[in-house]
Amino acid sequence: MKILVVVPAYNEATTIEGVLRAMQGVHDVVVIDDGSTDNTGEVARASGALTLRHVVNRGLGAALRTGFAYALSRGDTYDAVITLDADGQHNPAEIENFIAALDAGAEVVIGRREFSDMPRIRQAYNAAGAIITSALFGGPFTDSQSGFRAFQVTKLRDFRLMTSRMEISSEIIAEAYRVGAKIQQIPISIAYTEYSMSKGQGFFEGLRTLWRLVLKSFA
Amino acid sequence: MNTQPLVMQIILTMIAMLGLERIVSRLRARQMGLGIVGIWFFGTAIFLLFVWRPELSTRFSQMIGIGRGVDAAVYIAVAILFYAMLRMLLRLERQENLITRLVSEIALLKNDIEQKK
Repeated sequence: MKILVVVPAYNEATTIEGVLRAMQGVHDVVVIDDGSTDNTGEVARASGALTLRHVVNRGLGAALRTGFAYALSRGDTYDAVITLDADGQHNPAEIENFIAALDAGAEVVIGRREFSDMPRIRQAYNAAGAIITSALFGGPFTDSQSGFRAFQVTKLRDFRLMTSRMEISSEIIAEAYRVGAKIQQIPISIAYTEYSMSKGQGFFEGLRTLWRLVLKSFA
Repeated sequence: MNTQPLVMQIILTMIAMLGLERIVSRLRARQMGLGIVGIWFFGTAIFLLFVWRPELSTRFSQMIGIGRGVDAAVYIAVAILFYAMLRMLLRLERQENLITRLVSEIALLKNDIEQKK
């Protein structure tokens, strides 16, 4: 199975090298530098990854959509796309678990974080995210906000993603249900560091995400 | 007591029905979840109740301490303003989406050009 790993990155110069090094020579990787103001793009290029740069910052959703568009533009080159975060919280070695799930017949695989391992505030955000995603788009879903995911390209072609920022996570679940994909959740490990915590969604970003999801339901 | 429906009652009911038709079509197209559809149906039911039984609006307003029936024109104006604001926000979202598509296309095209060099 030919895999493309999509790594959306915004101001991740301090962590992205380690993430990319772990995948060097194993999988094709494309980094989407989402208009970073630090040298994320240069670091990614120096690490040997193909790097596409957004001229302005458009958000996580936009970066993922560019990565998906790149994968689909390669025709039949790739069988599957895997996304993971550039802040080092995901373990690239676990990509093999996603490939195994795809090989077993899943069409969309979502990494499910252990909520008990999370800081309390993150537990609350993620529980709220899962409830809202299930209510708005269908469910049930226990972890809708995970950035570690895999998609069969044949299914990804049917996705119609419209959002640009954090709400993409819920929209991906909605689209997976809409296109009738076989969805599987698999456990993943998460490395919570002070850095990765500082990059996560805060309370007000969560409210903004909810508001955009409500708007999207009318669009 | 006059039991003939007022023209405004019929017009408001038709507007509500048009709105519900849009919501049902979005539900069928799976563009809207059941939860949101339920909220819209509930809101519309309350709206129609006040339209056809205006004395209830007076009773309700007295219950919450306003003291007099809220003028129907104010309700309509608020509803229209709310709808206009929603349309404006949706248009803004579409513009945002267009900008994202442009930024994405530029990134892909720049890569194609670099690959051909």
